[in-house]
Amino acid sequence: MFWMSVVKMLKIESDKNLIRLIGVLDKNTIPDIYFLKEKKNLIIDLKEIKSIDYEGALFLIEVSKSNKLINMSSSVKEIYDFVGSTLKDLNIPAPPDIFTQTKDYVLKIIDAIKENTLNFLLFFGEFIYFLIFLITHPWKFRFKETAAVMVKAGAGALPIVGLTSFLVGVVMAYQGAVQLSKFGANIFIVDMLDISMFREIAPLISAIVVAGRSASSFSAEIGVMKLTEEIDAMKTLGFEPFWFIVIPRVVAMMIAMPLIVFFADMIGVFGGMIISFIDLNIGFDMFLERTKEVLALKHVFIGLGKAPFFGTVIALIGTYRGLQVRNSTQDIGKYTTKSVVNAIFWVIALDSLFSIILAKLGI
Amino acid sequence: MKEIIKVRNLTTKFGKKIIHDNIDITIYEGEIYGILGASGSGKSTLLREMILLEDRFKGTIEIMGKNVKKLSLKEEIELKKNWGVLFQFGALFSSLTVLENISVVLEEYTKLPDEFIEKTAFSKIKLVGLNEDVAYQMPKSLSGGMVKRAALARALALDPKLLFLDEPTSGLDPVSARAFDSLIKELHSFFKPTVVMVTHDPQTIVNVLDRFCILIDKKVVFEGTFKEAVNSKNEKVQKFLKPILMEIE
Repeated sequence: MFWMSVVKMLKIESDKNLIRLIGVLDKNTIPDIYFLKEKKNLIIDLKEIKSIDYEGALFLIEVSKSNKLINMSSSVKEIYDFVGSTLKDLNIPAPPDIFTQTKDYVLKIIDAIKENTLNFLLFFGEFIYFLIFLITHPWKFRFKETAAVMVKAGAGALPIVGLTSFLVGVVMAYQGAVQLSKFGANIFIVDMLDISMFREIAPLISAIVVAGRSASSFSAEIGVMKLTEEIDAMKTLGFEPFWFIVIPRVVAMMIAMPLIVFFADMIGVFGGMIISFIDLNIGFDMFLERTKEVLALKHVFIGLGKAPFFGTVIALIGTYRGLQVRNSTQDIGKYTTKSVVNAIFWVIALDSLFSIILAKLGI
Repeated sequence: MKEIIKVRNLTTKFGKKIIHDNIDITIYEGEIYGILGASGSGKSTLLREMILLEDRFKGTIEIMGKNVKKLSLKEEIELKKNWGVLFQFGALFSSLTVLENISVVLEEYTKLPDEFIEKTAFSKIKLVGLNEDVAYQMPKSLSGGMVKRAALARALALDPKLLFLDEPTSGLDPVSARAFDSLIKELHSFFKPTVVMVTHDPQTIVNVLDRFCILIDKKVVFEGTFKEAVNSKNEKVQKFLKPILMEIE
């Protein structure tokens, strides 16, 4: 139709100081005559201008500062005056310069660190408060939400945790087998696999996988709830978000994590058993026999005992970062990334802390 | 008068839920047209169908003589350059400053020099009644009313022939809302765009709209001017108008 097929044209005729513009002056044709802005003392005849748009009028105003416009038709004049009236007291503020920007940036970082520390302390305090509340008012506990989180974040993690620890078991057994068979100490593969798997590897692997899975999902979930004002709605209804959102997740992860770790223990050792059988010729029966001898129960319990702490840290960081989302969609990406990175870091830091403490205690 | 938007035999169904049942509306070039109706009557859906955001409908929608379901990609972009849309909550790009939100459109579609684009963007910020200082701010630091004005400036960036407004005055205080109304009327008198708006605001309905349609129970029960609506014998129309007339008095 004609709307799309109109060819917008602007012709320029010049005669010494007189420039005659013919046709349509709009945002598509301005680039052709933009050079006029640099010229001085020209007389520009607008008699043949057929139509003009906002940008066209703005351009004419710019040009009129050093040149003279003549023969403006009344329709052009109307738009020209209208645009002129909006420009009357327009002063374009300078964009912030590099120095102020850097200063602002540094101040912002310092502020963020201050606020972050304070916020986390507040959050942690609230956590302790509600933990005590949970112990004193156990009947108010939200069982349904907790169970739902356990299914989603706990049972849902089993396939990937299983696969990961199976592969880690295989790799460890494989690497160990090469070294041990050099000494003919084949049977010690069982000691190595059992103790390291139960005590360190399985808890750490499951915690890292769960941190990647659940910390991110908690943050994103809660972040969206904040953006859509669901959290605010809960507050106005008297549902304390901490009690309804944070505590169920923390408790669920606290309970689910040891179960996940136990599952990872089994699968990981099973992966090692297969390689021991293939590479070192140690049958399943021999492997289990040796396990009974070397695997003290304390190793199993140390591994499982760390799990609730990992679960708590993951849930706390996931929910904390989610609640930090303020008012833009970008925040969700930002805080989800932070929550995963923080969760993985704190799991590893906590694990080393346990190692040091247990070593000092001689366990 | 020339038709600019023609909706014919439009039926929209989401699953089993019928939103529109065989509706026809006609919007003429240069008028300010309102789509009215109670909440949940499918006004916003109708608007979304016109601006190609929703295509689960049967029937035809013609905009500037083109059937929106049979557009090539190139025609679609050409068409989109001819309209501006103001979303209910602004929908400014949150990663760009207000100035960039407006200038990005001009940068994409025109060959104007950067400094001129900046000047244009600033004057449009001014035009919609915002202070120049907000130009370098991010959308998240603006209030609801400011976001709306900035979003209008973005919708006006290409001097559209067709302006779609989704509840332009909702969420504004009465003074700002009336200022918004007169801004739209003023723009309309100079650049003569066709304006299509979804609105609930009685003042806007009476003072700004040239013609409107009323959607009730999946059907268009009325289409015409305010005067015609007042004189209409249709019971549903009278029931719809009653609170509006009371408000005006």
